[in-house]
Amino acid sequence: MQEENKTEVASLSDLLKPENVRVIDGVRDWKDAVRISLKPLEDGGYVEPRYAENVIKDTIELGPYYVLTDDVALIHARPEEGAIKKQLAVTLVHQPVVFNETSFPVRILFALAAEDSTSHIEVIKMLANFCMDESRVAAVTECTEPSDIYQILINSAE
Amino acid sequence: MVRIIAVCGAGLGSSFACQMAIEQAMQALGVEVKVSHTDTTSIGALVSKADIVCCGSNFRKLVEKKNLPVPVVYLDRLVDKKEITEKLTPILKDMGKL
Repeated sequence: MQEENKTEVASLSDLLKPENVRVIDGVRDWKDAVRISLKPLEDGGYVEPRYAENVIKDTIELGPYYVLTDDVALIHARPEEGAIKKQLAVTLVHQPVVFNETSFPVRILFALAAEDSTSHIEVIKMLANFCMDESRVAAVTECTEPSDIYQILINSAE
Repeated sequence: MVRIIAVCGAGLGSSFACQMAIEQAMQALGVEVKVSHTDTTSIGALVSKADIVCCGSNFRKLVEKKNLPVPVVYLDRLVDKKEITEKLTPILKDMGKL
């Protein structure tokens, strides 16, 4: 495979793969949620195992900085904390996850690996569009099939 | 032109999404802005390039300690255009931009 230029802007279809969208019933606690949401990225070689542990460490230190709005979190750490290659994964947890007493319960867990602060812009654009449309967020929380979630997200890119 | 910096822990996820929401909210208000994003450790050095700083409410204690010389807006929902608009409007009015 050709070496990818780090500053190159990647398209959403390169950054979100259908097999990295998952649906589960529940998690034990928020730490479990962090690990489970990052598992597809770990399995795919996009992050090192220490990445999830660093997210947990940063959460204890800073609070759940990745809860974007009601029902949506963007689990991530800094590139040097174990990211290998930019990629997004999505896990829908039907039983809401509570990260701390002041944050919103979350069912949609996005997990992000980024190599720098800007080259994953297509993912962020999609995420921002998605989060700002409550009907889309509600539609995803109702999904039972990963393929339906994938389609809603891909449509959010436009 | 109003310069706004969105801040989060890692400086590439939540703050980047917040940047997009601020850009859309300000476009709707008709305010010309230049928005960027960074992390909580870099904001001290970058604040000279900002007129307003936006960050998550979870960073309030951390950011207040920095005594930034510009208005800081603390957001419960980083991507909520309504909250962003409500909290930025009085500041923009004070600055004479609205």
